Amino acid sequence: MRLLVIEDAEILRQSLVIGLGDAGYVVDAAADGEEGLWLASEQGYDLIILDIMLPHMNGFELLDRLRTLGADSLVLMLTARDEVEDRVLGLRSGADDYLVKPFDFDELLARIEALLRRRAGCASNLLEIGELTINLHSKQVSVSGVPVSLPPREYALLECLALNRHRVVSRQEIEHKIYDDKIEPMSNVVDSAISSLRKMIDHKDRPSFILTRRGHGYQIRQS
Amino acid sequence: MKSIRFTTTWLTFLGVSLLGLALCSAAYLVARKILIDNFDRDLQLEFQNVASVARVWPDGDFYIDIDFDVATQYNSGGSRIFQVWSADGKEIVDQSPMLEEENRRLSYPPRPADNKPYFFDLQDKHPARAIFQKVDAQWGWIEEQPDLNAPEHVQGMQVQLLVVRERTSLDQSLSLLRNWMLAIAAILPALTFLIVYLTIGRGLKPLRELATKVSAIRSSGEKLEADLHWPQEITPVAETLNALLKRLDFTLQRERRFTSDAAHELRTPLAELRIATDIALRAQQNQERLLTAVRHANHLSHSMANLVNSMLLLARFQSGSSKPESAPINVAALFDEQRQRIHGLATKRGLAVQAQAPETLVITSDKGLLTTIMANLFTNAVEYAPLESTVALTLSADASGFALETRNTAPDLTQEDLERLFHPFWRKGESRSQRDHYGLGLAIVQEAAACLALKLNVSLNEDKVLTIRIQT
Repeated sequence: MRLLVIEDAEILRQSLVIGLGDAGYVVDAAADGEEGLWLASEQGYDLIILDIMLPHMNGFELLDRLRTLGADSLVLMLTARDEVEDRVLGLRSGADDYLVKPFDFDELLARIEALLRRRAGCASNLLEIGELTINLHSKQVSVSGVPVSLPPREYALLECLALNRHRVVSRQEIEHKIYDDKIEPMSNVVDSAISSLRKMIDHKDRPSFILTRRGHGYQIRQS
Repeated sequence: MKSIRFTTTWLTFLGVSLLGLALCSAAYLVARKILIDNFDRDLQLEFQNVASVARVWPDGDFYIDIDFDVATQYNSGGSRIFQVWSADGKEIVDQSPMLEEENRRLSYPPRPADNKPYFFDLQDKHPARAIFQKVDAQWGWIEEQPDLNAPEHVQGMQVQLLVVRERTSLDQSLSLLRNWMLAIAAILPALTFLIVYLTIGRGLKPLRELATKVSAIRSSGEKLEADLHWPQEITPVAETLNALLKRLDFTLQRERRFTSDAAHELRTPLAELRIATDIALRAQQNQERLLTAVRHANHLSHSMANLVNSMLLLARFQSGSSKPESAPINVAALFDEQRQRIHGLATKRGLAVQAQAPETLVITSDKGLLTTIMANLFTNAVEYAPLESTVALTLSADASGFALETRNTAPDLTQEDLERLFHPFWRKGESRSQRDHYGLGLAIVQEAAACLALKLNVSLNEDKVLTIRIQT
């Protein structure tokens, strides 16, 4: 999952980038409203963590312009303003959630998970696809009840496919959501990761959990 | 606790009691004197009647001829008595029949040297009033034998006559008068007490209503609704209370806004502190990350301490607890000291600082407050002026002391912003990314200037040059 943090407080911004990266997200950051709007509109993030009081353009205005541009990224507003009017304005401007500073990092993670889960149409953190079970919170995976230990990158790939289980996910989208911008455009890191993931979760005598749609991408098998 | 109702009632009661007592006493004494004078006047008339029938005969025999109409009351069974002494007072020469029948003798009264009528109270069988005077005896023979030549001592005979009249009627009148006066003196204060108590109670009713309305006020934003039935004395109280509520509301709103703004300002560094340390603690094996978190925490603690110190300084100025000292200060030296302090930052930002000040300018003021004002004004000018622009700092002698002025370009400011420039925590734009810029500097300058009774003016010209001027 690819997140964007738009926050002008430097220490908070840096800490969020590190913490969310540790949690398995690919994170970009912007220090002011103009840069944040540019990144958000150009890159297409799964979720944007947006501060309200920003230099050059405040969070409400940024969100308004982002929605006008047609971006449907989830937006979690992060601010020191806790008046009801601010919350209402934020949510009515198109934000999906609201968190008041100072906040607990676990709460932020939980809200991010909840927003991503709702977007994927999941009622709980436990996602069951046939014999495959994924705990979106503890990031544990089991196949036919047997726990499988996945490295972070492979887990992120599986989670990305699982949350988008009703459609084909392109290779470029996987690269964008799972990997940072440093990988080369023509590299086969996604194919390698898919291969690695299959070895970890598939049974030899059963069809693979991950279907290859030639020319389109990959999709997780529903049953 | 003193009660207006009871205090006023008791004071009125005491006043009326004393006044009533004095008036009743005076009235009683005046009336008593009038009654006694009238009684004595009647007694004197009777004395004259008796004296007119005091007869002496040629043989020297003397008696009061009570057969005359004027003296019939002195007969036996009458209510009045008399007794006559010889001129030298040694011998009783006649008595009224009642005294003779009872064989009583009245004591010779002390008589004043002159021969004026002498009135006095006499305790006989009954309380009585008496008159005593020396009188000439009438010639008893004058009508029948006018030519009779009586001896000379008989012709010039004088006697001392005492006429006594019971004073029962006088005492009854005096007693009645005294009782009435006592009754008036007792009833008047009691009635006054009752009337004043009830009247004041009724008069204080609007005050009780006012108290009820005041006690129903739950917040400083409310106000007392005027009641058309209130007397004119209560209306100013209600208006004063409303004015007080308005002032309180203003102060409370300011305090609330200040507290809210302060909490707001602290939220971002607190969030940074919490997240930075939380992230580091999640990867405790990563020493570099822990060290970075500690550095961040240290930096943030300094930043928050600066904010708290600024808030405390502002709060102290606003509370009025800061009492300025008064001592001679070389304000020109202070100006130079502060100019040098900002030199590094100005150079770093590529600013040209034009400073102009006399070599020496001594004024009487508070050095600490003046330092605070200069430090904040200079820092504000240097930190908010655009990069590579010019900042002008001027100190000049003024007719009444000194004038200090800072000028710097402020391209983002508008005329509307000037009103809010000195509000605590106000900054142009919503971003709080400039750490240690809390929007308190100019608010502190304003309060410190107010402490020193200095005039503060701010203006923004068409070229967006902001001028802040402080002068005595």
